[in-house]
This record gives sequence, structure tokens and C-alpha cells, in this order.
Amino acid sequence: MTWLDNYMLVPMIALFITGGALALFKPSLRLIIVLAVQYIAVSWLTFMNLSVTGVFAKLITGFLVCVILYLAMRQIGEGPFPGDRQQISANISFRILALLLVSVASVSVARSNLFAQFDISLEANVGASFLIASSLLNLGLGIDHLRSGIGLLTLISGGELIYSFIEPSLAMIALLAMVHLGVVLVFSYIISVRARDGMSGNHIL
Amino acid sequence: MNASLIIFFFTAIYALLCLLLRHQRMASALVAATGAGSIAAFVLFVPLDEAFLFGEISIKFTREWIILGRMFSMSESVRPLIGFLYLAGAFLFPPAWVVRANRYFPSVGLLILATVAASLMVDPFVYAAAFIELAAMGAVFVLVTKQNPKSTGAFRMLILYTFAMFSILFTGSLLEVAGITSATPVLAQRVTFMLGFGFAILMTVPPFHLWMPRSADESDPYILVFILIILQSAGLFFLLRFLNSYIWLREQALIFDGIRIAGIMTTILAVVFAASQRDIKKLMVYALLIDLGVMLISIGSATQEGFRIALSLCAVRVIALGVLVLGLSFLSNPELRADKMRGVGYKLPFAAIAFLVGLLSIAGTPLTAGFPGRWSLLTVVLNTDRVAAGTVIFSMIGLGVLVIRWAAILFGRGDGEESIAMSRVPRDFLIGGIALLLLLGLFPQFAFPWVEKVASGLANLFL
Repeated sequence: MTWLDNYMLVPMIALFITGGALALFKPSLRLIIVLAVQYIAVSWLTFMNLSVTGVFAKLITGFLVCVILYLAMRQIGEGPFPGDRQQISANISFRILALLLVSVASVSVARSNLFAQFDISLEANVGASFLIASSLLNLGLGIDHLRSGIGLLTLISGGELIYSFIEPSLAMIALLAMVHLGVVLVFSYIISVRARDGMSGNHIL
Repeated sequence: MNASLIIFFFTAIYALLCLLLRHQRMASALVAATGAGSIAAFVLFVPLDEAFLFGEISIKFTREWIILGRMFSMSESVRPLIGFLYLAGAFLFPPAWVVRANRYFPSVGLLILATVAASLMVDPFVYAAAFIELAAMGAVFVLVTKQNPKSTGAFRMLILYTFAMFSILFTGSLLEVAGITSATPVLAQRVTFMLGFGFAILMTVPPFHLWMPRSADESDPYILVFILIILQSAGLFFLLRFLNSYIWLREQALIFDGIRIAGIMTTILAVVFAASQRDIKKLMVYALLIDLGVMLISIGSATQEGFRIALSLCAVRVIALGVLVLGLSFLSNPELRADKMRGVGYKLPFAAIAFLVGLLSIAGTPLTAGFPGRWSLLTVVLNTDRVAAGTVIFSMIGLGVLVIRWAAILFGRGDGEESIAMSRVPRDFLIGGIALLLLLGLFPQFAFPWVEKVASGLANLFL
């Protein structure tokens, strides 16, 4: 499937769109589809460097993450995360502005020689930098746990994308897949504990 | 048979047993302690790579286990470190029963120990960062529970550890691929910065400690202390192994200066924050940070004596913090604020004394377990770095004053000071803990054999 290498701009653009959507919109069940697309784009970008097995391992991990997240989020539906009452002033126009700023910053970081020692393609470098930057935006703006959780998953995807060029070994793919699944399991566990706590009316935050 | 595999297998078996026995807290805690103790004995004493007779059966345990092209090795340098972690677990699991910690704590705690042990065994050892991240994930399962459902602190920890993981992974790769030496100053500077960032998070150096006071608010203090002891020890061992492995790192004065300055800042900030606390759980967190700061100062002294002192402080803190949090677990129920704690010492005298003696030990008061380490550190840094020596003295005096303040609060006259009846077992645990701390103050050499074993494993640091 080397023909995919000729279309590396596609996943990079997809990362900008999905990363942007995850940072701009309120986390919901529908946004999990966006997260799934993000995982596909990340896997696509690693095609240049990883074996087909490795790429499929990443893809399957991504889908498992989305399924686990979907099952967890179904407990709270479209409603707010129990206990997350605090909100900070970050309306949509502010988010768009912040997203534009981090996009510019991430492109310039990717074009610098930060990882000059490693043979990382420009598309992957730009995509990963944007993912990391948008995840920081999510983590920074998100007082609510859902946004922070998705931000954390995006951060790991970004780091993993760069790292797959640095060390394309199967052991590392397996280890980072464990990290991905571990994070989503922890996140689902927190959702279920908080949802139960919210249902019993025992809010503490 | 493979030693690493045996450790993982038996840890999993004991964890499963604890899970099955979770409704019988005593049995679960004792199984976890026995399991951790037996694995520690295996790690520390069983000969590897040579056949020996067990009864009439000849057994040989090999050091190395290769999986997916990567190796888990029980080298001589990591054996005492893994043994220490399991011994710490064996010491901290039994009281979980008397403080009524979460039912899943013994089983999850054992799995966390195995994950941290994996981080020490894995080769190349930069992979350790990912295992420590997995251990942090495990920690969330016991920090956030049905009884303590708030999760902000635990989630902050997870985010910070993820940053640390990538920071150390990238650093490790730069070291492997780019061949960094002192002759490549720009790259060396970048790596030093990234490494410092990663280790500062792993060891909860301020400002990366922010999740701790929040978790103290939200989680069971006993579980929090267990997690902090294990994760900070893992961070410390990882740092020592990094320093042991890369000669250019050891040769950079900047590294040790940075560690020393981080230690000084941590200690001073923690003393100031501790002084302003009205919440006894947060006081515990800052006491733990003071201890960490002193350990960093001893590593920053860049001397063999300093490294030895850091290791012995690491050993002693398990006992001091264990006793402190054991007392605190009884005291912190149900009100935590200083204004509500007046006279609590009369109601729960043994718990209050255990808390205060634990705090005195962390302060390094004479006749407690913490004193010999701090005194030795003072003799090391007094002639080389007056600021560091002053900071250690400041921490001893500052925390000592805080002990007096909290003693005055706990034993101040309040309303209705009839003592709360405490059953024999918790009382015995508390008395035993206090006695142990005082005994170790009189006979501080208990940690020496372990420290020497670690020193012989890290041959480049301890030339």
C-alpha cells in the first residue's frame, strides 16, 4: 500500500480538522467519530515508517479506544459530566482565535529543527505538532473532565506519531498501545464513578 | 525458569488472591504483605544464573526474559531496588486493613509494584518512563473510588506523568541516536532541559506537585502516601540509573547544580506552605515534599556520600511516612481543619502521637529515624555548600516548630475530650510504628546493607 505515501497531505489536513473540532466543540458522543477519524489519520501518517502490522495495530488500538470511550460516555449521554459545574470564559470565538494561534505556532515548531536528528516527514511533524498543540489547548481550556480526557488522548496520539518515526519497533507500538488503552480505561472508570456519584446526588466538587 | 517472569506471575497470583478476598480486609492485606515480602526475599536472596538445590530438586533461575525483542533483566544493579519496592509494599500493606483503605487497594497496589519493577528491569531503560506512566494509571484506580469520587488531583497526575513519559522517551532516543557527549553542547543542553522537565514531574518537584494537595483533599491519605512513596522512589531510582549510565551527564556540573537548586527550592517552598496549612492532610503532603527536597539536596552534592545518604533517606521515609499517615488516617476522620482538631489528641492519643512522631522523624529530630540521615547530610554539605546546609537546618527547625504547633492543637483543651475507644489491633499497629521509628533513631545502621548493595550495582556512580 505504498500508494498511500503519495497522499500524506490528506491525513495531515484531517488532523487539523479533527484536532480543531475536538478543541472547538463540546465533547459529546458524536465527537467520538471525530476522534476515530483522528486515529485513522495518525495511522495513515505512520505508513511511511511502520510495517503494515504496526499500522494496523495502531488502527485497532484507536478503534478500541473509541469503543471504550463510547460505552463510558453513554452512561452520561449528552448531559454535563457529573460534578463539572465550573466553566471558564472560553466562548467559540475565543476558541477559534486560540486554535488559529496554536496552528501557526505548531507549523513553525514543526518547520524548526527540533527533531533534526530523526528522519521525520514534514507532514507527520506538522500533524503531530498540531495534535500536541491542540491537546494543550484542550487541557488548558477544559476544566471539565471530558475535554481534558480527550485532550490527553490527543496528546498521546501526537507524541506517538513523532515517536513512531524515532523508534518503529513492535515493542514500542505495543507499549504505547497499552498507554492509550490504559488512559481510556482510567478515563472510563472516572466517568463511571462520577456518574454513579452524580446519580446518588452526592456531588462534591 | 525466568526470574522476571516469576516476579510478574506471582505478583499477579497474589493480586488475584487479594481481589478474591477483598471483602475480608484483614486477609486481603495480609496476603498482599506476605506476597510482597516473599517476592522481595526472592529478589534479594535467590541466586540467579546458577543452579541450586531446593530440597532434592535442582533449580536455576535466569536473569533475562526477552519479549517482542526487548529484554527484562534482573541485573545486580536493579535487584536491591526491586527488593526495596516490594519490602516497602510488605511494610505498608498490613495497616491498610486497620485504616480501612479501599478494598481493591492491596490487589491494585501489588500490580503497581510489579509495573514499577518492570520499569526497573526493562532494557533499554528509557522504556521505564512508559511503565511508570502505567503505574500512575493504576494509581488512579485506588485514588478515585466510590468513597472518594473526586478525581481532579488524580487526573492532573495522569496528565503530568504523560508529559514526563514523552519527555524521557524523546530524551532517551536523542541519547541513543544522536550520540550526545559533552562535545555537543547545544544538543546536550536540550537533552538536559528535557530530562530535567521529565524528572521534575516524576519526582513531583514544585510546581509539578500541584496534584498532590488536591489529591490529599480528595483521596484516602493512606493510599496517597503509598502511591507517592512508590512513584517517587521509582523516579529517584530512574534518575540514579540515568546518572550511572551516561558519563557526560555525570560530568556536567550543571546537572548536579540543578538538582541541588531544585532540592533547595522544594524544601523552602514546602516548609513555607506547610507552615500556612490548616488542613492536616495537606501538611502531610508538604512534609513529604520537604523530605524529597532534602533527598535532592543530597544527590545534588554530587558525592558518593550524598548518593548513599539519599538512598538511606529513601529507605527511612517509608517507615516515617507510614507511621505518620497511619496516625493521620485515624485523626482525619471526620474533620480535618485545624480549628476542629483541638483536643483530638485526647480522644485518639496513640494516633496523635504516631502522627507527631512521624512528623518529627521527617523533621530529622534527634532520637528519631530521620535524624542520622540529615545529620550525615549536614556533615557532607556544610563545607561545600552553605546554602544547602542552611536549607537542611531550616527544614529541621521549621518542621520541628510545626510539630510543636500541631501538638498544641491536637492536645489543646477543647470540648468533650473523652477518649475514643480504639480496638487492640490498631493500637498495637500505632505503638509498633512509634517504637520502630524510635528504635531506628537509636540503631540507624539497618539500611546500610541495602545501601551498599545498591551502591555496588551502580558502579559508575559509586566508583
